[in-house]
Amino acid sequence: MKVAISFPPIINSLGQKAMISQNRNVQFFSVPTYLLPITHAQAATKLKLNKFHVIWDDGNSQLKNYDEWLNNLIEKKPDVIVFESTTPVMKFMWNTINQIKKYLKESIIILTGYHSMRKPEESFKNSNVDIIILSNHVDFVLFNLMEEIKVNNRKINQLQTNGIAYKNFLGEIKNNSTFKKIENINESEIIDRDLIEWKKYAYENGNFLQTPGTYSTSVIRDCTFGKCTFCRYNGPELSFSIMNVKRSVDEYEKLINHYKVKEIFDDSGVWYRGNDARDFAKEIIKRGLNKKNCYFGFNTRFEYLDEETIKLLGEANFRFVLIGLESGSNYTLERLKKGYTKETVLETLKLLTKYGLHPHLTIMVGYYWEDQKMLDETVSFVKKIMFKGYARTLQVTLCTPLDYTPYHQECIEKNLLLTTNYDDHDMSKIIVKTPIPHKKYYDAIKELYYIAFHPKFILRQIKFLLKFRKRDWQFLITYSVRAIRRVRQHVFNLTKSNKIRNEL
Amino acid sequence: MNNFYRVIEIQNLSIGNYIIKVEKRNLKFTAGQFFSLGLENNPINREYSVCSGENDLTVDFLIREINKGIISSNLRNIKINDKIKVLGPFGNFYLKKFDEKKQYIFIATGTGIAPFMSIIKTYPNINYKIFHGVRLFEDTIKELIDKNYFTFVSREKCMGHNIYEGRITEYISLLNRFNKDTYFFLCGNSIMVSEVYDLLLKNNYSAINIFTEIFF
Repeated sequence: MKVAISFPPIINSLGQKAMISQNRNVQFFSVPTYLLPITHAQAATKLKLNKFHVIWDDGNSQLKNYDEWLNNLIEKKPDVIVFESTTPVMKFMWNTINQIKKYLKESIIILTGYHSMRKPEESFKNSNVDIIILSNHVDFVLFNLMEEIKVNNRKINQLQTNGIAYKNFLGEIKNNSTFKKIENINESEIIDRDLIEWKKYAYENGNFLQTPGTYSTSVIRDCTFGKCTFCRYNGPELSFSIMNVKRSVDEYEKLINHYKVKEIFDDSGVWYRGNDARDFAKEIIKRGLNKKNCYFGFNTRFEYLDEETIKLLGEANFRFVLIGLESGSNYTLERLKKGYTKETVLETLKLLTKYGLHPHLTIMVGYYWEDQKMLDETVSFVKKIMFKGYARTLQVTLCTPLDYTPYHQECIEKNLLLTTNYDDHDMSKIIVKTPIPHKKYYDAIKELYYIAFHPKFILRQIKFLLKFRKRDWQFLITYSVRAIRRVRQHVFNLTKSNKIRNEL
Repeated sequence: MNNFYRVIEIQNLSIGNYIIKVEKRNLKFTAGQFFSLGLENNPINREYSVCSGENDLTVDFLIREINKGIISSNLRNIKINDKIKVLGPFGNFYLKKFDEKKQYIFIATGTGIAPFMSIIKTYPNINYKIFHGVRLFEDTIKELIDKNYFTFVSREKCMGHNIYEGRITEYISLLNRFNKDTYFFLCGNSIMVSEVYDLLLKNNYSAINIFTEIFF
C-alpha cells in the first residue's frame, strides 16, 4: 500500500511561504526555514519498516510550487495521503483536500494536527477528508490505522483503531476517540534520515550556526510541564512521554559519525532536566562526541537547569538553548501559567552564558490584557538582558490564539476575537481586542528587533570574541547577516499587518 | 507579587520521602493539582503535587529526596518558618465531577500517590481503592493503610495484609474485578502508566474512564 505523508507548499498573495515554526505554529516568510516534522518523520519510518511503500512528500523542503507538488502527487496515485493542519492553514487544507479528491477519488485522505484533533467535525463539514487522527501520537495511531485499512482491503467502514474519527461509506461520522493518551516513545522509531531526505532540511535554518544541521528524534514528546495556556502542548488529551538517554545518544553518534552532521537540535517542547540532562551530557563526553565539531541545542524552561548541569552541557559542546521568556511582566507570566517569575529568568541566563551557551529568547506581545505598562516592562526587561549579554538572539511574535488552546478558548468565551476567519490567525497581526492600540505592540516588536543594531548590543558581542571561542566568532559573522535579514522580514510583515488591521 | 510562603512543618516519612507543609494564606487548588516550588535566591524550581485536602489548614507536598537533587534535598533541610517559593497551581489531573456512586481506582508509583492523598482527604465519602507501587516497604504511606490501600513492593521481600511483592503490572488481574464503568486514575512513572493503560484496555475498560499524569 502506497502512503504519502504530504506537506503542500502554501504561498500567500505576497509570495511568502507558510512555514511550520515554534510549537508547530505557522507563519509566512519570504526567506523560509525548513523544519523537519519529527513525529510525522517517525510515522513515515515506522510505516517503511513495516513494509508500506512510503512517499515522503514535503513540497516545501523539496522546493516545489503548489502546482508542481499537486501534479507530482496525482501522478504517484497514493492509496493514502496524510496531511498536518493548524489553525491559519485550515481553509487552505480543506480546499486542497477537496481538489485532490477530484483527481484521486479512491485515495484515502487523513488529517492530523492539533487543530483538527480538537475540532474534527468542522473538517468533515468543510472538506472531503476521510479520517482525522485525534491523537498527538501520530506515528502509533497511523501505523495501527494503516494495518487495519490494509486488512480491510482499503475499506474505511467500521474501523476499530482508537484515536480516530472517520466518515463511513454512508457519510456518517464515527468517532473512536477513546484512545491511549500516552505512549512509550522508547518504542517509537528513530527517524530514517534517507527516507526523509534530511539534507533538504540541513541548511535553510536560521538556528544553525554550522551546517549541515539536523533535528534529532525528540526525547520528549509534547512538554513535561504542559500547562502554559497559549501553547498547543497543553490539554487533558496530551501527556508527555520520555525516551531513554542512551537511545538518544546512539542517534547522535550515528548522525555525527555517519551523516557528518555539524549541529543537532532537539525540538522537544522541553528537553531533559536534572539527572537525565546530566547523564546525556556525560554520555556525549564519554563517547567523545563533544570533540567532533558538532554543536547541540534544545528547548528548555527557565527553572529547569542548575549550574552543575549547565556546566556539563557546556563541556559536552552544547550551544543553542531556546527558552520561552514570553513576557517581562510577572502578571502576564502568571496569567499564562508559565510557572516562573522574571526574577528567575536572569539567574538562569547568567549561568547559560557563563558556560558558553547561546540562549535564544522567544518573546510574545499582544496578549488581550497587556496594557502599556506591561508592554514597557517587557521591552525594558529584554533590552536589559540583551545589553548585558545574557542572551544572544531573540524572536518576537504576536500572541495569536491557535488550535483551541486554553488561551484561544478564553478569547472566544470573552468575545475578544476580532475575526472568525482562520486565515487571520497567521501571526501577522493582532486579532484580539486589547486595552491599547495594536500599533503599540507592533512598535514594541520593532524596538525589540532593532536591539540587534544597538551599539551596546554590538559592543557586547565584540566582548564575547575576547574569550576566543570559535562559536562566538562564528556567531558574529553568521548572525550579523541573519539579523539584517530577519529584521527586514519582520518589519515587512508588520507593515503589511498595519494595512490589513484597518480591514478587521 | 509575593510567591513566598512560610514552612510550617517537615514530616519525615522514610529515608527517601518527606512531607513539607506550608502556610495556606491565599493558596487555592483543586485536589490532584501541583505547584512549582523553589528556594529563595535560587533560579531552579521543581513541580510537586499537593497531598493535603482542599480544606486543610496547610498546603502539604509529598517529596522524594533525589540523590544530588537541587530542590528536593535543600527543601528537606530548610528551617521551620523559612520561606519557599510556591507558584501555581497547575494541572488538570483532578476529578472533573465527583460522583459518590462511582468507584475510583487510583494507581500510583512512588510520589505519584500524592494527588490521590489529596483527593481522598477532599472527598471523604469517595468509594476508592489505591494501588501503590514502591521500591521499599518503608516508602508505603502509613496514614493510608486500611482495607483500601494495596501496596506492591518491588525491591525487597515483605509480607502482610494487602502487601504484594513485585510490580503493580504483575498483578493486573486484581483490577479485573471492578465494574466496567469504574474510573481509573494513573499517576507515576511513564513506563508504569503506559503499561497499566495497555492492560486496562486489553481488559475491556474504556479509555474515556482512564486518566493519567506522568511523574519523572
